[in-house]
Amino acid sequence: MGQILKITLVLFMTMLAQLYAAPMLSIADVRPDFILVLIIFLSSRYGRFVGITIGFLAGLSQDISGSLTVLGANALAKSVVGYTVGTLNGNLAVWTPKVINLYIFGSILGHALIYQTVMVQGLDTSWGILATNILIEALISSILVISIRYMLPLVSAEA
Amino acid sequence: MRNLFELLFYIRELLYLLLAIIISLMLLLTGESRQALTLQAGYIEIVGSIPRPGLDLSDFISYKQENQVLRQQLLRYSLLNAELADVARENEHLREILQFTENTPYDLQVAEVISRGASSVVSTVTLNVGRDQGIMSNQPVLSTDGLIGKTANVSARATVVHLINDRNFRLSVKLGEAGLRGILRPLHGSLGEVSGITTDGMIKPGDKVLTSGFSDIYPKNLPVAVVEEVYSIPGETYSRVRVHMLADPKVVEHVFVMKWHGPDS
Repeated sequence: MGQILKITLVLFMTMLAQLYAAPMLSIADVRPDFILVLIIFLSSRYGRFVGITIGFLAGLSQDISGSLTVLGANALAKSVVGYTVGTLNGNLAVWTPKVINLYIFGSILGHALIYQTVMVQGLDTSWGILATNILIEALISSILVISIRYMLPLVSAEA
Repeated sequence: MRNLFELLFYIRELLYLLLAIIISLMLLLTGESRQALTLQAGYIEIVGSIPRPGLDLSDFISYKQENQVLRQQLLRYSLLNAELADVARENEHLREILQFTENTPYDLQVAEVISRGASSVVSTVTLNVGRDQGIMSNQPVLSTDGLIGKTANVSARATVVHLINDRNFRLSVKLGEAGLRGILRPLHGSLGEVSGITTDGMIKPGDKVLTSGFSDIYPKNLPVAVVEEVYSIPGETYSRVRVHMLADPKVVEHVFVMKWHGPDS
């Protein structure tokens, strides 16, 4: 129970940071996604079940706060990240840091691909702009996660 | 049977992911449902009651720059005002001759943007005014540059604005001196497109795009965008006009909600 309360509190703080601090740190109109960073850390620590649950709920909160007509885009993308990064739980000691970083980047790229593709449905956006947005979003979040990872190592809850 | 249970147990996490994906897709397909709007109403009640972070150094710097820009704009508007005063006198005189009733001024409510949402794509902003200030849904929202959107979900102290750059936003507009009517829809960033009009060379880059007035929400002649490019697609009878939105919702800090815009509002 205490653990759930702690995670809820951290999630709430991250949500506030996303609402108020992320707009100040945006690059080319793309904001860093602190909630995605948190999901990556929690999924790798607690596994797929927790990853999917937190990914879905946090993504839904993000959707509710940011869109009137597109509800579910973040929930979908973040549930998938929760599942994929949850695989790291138990493999952190087995995989090399390079493989872990590459795996995280792949998951973040997948998140950006799902989210941006859903968001441009119905718009005449060129493939070039879509690809650029996906890459920028994935790079910002990956740099953020990988930098934090070296200060605050990813650990499995059982470790 | 036991094997089936074992298999289901083995892939339980995948099934859980599948459930999350199905729920997300259902939400995506029913985005404008009553339940979604109720959820958002709850969210804006919370955001409206959270005090904003205090001022920091970057705020002071940006306020200084903003102040300079506003001073320049004030001077520009003062000059324009002097010019308009003359036109207004002439207009008044002509109205008297034609026995027109007096034009109704707009009733504007100043509001501050308190949130731009937590998603990386900004399609709504939340304002610090709500029902308590007389705001209702479907009222036009403007920045000093032009139309920014319309009020959508209103709580007692906060309001969510449906932005002009949201993919589901459509607006009836008129273009250029000829006043050709078309429907504006957003593209990416601050770009939009007006389609379904025969331009015949009457529209050129730099022409203004204004609201047409064919709407219960927006009065006519609100500035929306400027024409950037006119082009045709082979096989299409009509031309397409690419426009650049005047207001940038990503940077705007203060906006005006048009509470009343005439007897028909």
